[in-house]
Amino acid sequence: MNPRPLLMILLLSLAACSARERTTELSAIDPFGGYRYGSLSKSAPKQPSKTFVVMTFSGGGTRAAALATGALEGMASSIIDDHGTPINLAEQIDIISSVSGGSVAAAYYGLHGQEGLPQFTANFLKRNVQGHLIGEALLPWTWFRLATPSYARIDALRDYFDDNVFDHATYDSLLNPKPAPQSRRPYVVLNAADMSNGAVFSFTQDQFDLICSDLAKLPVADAVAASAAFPVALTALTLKNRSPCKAQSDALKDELSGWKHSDLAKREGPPRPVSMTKALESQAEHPGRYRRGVIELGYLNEENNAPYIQLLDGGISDNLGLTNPLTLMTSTDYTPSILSRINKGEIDRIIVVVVNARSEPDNSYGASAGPPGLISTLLTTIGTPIDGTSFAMLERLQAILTDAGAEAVETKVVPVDFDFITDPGCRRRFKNIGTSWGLDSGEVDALLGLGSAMVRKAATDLGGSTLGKSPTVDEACSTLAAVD
Amino acid sequence: MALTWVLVLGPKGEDEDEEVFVDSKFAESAGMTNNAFRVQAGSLRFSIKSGRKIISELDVKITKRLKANPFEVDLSDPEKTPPLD
Repeated sequence: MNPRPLLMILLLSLAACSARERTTELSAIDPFGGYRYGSLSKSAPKQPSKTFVVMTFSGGGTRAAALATGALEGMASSIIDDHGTPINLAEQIDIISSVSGGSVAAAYYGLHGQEGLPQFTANFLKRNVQGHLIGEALLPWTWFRLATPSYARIDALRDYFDDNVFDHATYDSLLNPKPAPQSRRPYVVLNAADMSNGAVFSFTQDQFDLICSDLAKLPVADAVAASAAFPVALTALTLKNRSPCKAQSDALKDELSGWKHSDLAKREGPPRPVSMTKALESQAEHPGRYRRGVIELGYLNEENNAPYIQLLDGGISDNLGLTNPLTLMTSTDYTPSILSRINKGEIDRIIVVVVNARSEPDNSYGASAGPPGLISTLLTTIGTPIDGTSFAMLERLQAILTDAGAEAVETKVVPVDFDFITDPGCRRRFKNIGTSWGLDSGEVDALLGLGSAMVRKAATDLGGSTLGKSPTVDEACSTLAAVD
Repeated sequence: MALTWVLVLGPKGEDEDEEVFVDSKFAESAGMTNNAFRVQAGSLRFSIKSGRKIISELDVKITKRLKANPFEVDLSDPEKTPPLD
């Protein structure tokens, strides 16, 4: 039998595959529905308190996901006082904002809560995902798929997450977890970087209103893969932008949709959110707000000439995932506006747990007169801006929180960060854990222990208490030393 | 960060303070009438609603002010503050 016709049929069928569009057009803009902070209370209420808790998870592959998971375990065993009522820190988490590797842990926690962490550790953190992906990449079938528009290198990671980690869950599962949780799950904001403007692209319905897409129908794996699309090694993840659309025009008829004609006085022009129109008028008084308005205007695609969005690793824009929480603390334009809650006296304490798995591998660049090789230069070029952005934002955080809060608001930043390990040898070992999707089991245990220990220590510093036994920082150091 | 203080005067004759919405973000109020609160400086729209109906609305350019001397936004008379669109 001549194999050539079969091969031709195969190649033609592959060529007929169209690119993945991923998004689904939004049927109506509803500021009271969709994946937004306020909607989460419908599945389960949050225990009332005046403490607002934000967690941010950095990038760094499995190293970041493990450190974040350890921090979540530490939150579950930490109790603090809120106006005479003991509150469990894990049950008080309002928002988790994450990038890259941290997004895997954040999304899994949003879907399965505290009960899911042991399974996440066994089925993801301690799996050699990297080995699996490399094995897949070597298969001839993968080469054929990569030759089609419907499959790019990012899809290998995306499909692994979808099949093996998130079990095909969509954002609707984050909104309506089954079984219904006992207490309200955090609002999980996964962040990627938009190649066209360099800005943070957050997977929230507020953002998806602008591209006229229904986030509830998007697989969680798409968002996590976009957030973790490390440049060069992986391609960008492409989303179809469905704006402009009928839902945006229809929103003009609903007084409470928040959308009006771009010219508010003359009632003319394309539909835009009022907050965007106002931001575009604020160039002199508030350049940061104006810049956000300009970026958002681009997503409306009013010229109809940019129907696709290319997303890369969120760490390129902000490797700590702090941009979104900082905006919520200093603006009334986005929900949940922490500033608005401070205004109304609903919050008198903000706790921000910043989980930073930044690496700093040993190198010998300073010991040689010759310039580093191409690969080293490329990795440094990609990694240096990521880490530089993170540091600048961390330094500004305390000042911004103090400025945003009214007099009575107490702010506490809890760093879960290798830089806060006092033993220099241990600190160096943690910083030398590689960035990959496959770590040694002992390295994972050490990271889990360290994350938990740092949160528990912060809880006692806040006058709280901790439940059960958990490794100390010294014990986590010993666990890692044993791996070496 | 360009945060500033505003004081929104509510409708006359109302005993209770009303929720104030900024830039038509009706899912979450930004503060209450007759109580100074913080907003970002610049061009903003202030609204008061009753159910699904907006009863008073005003577009204002807010400049930097301290809490002791907040920027006053007068929504006390719906007749004088019709929606601009």
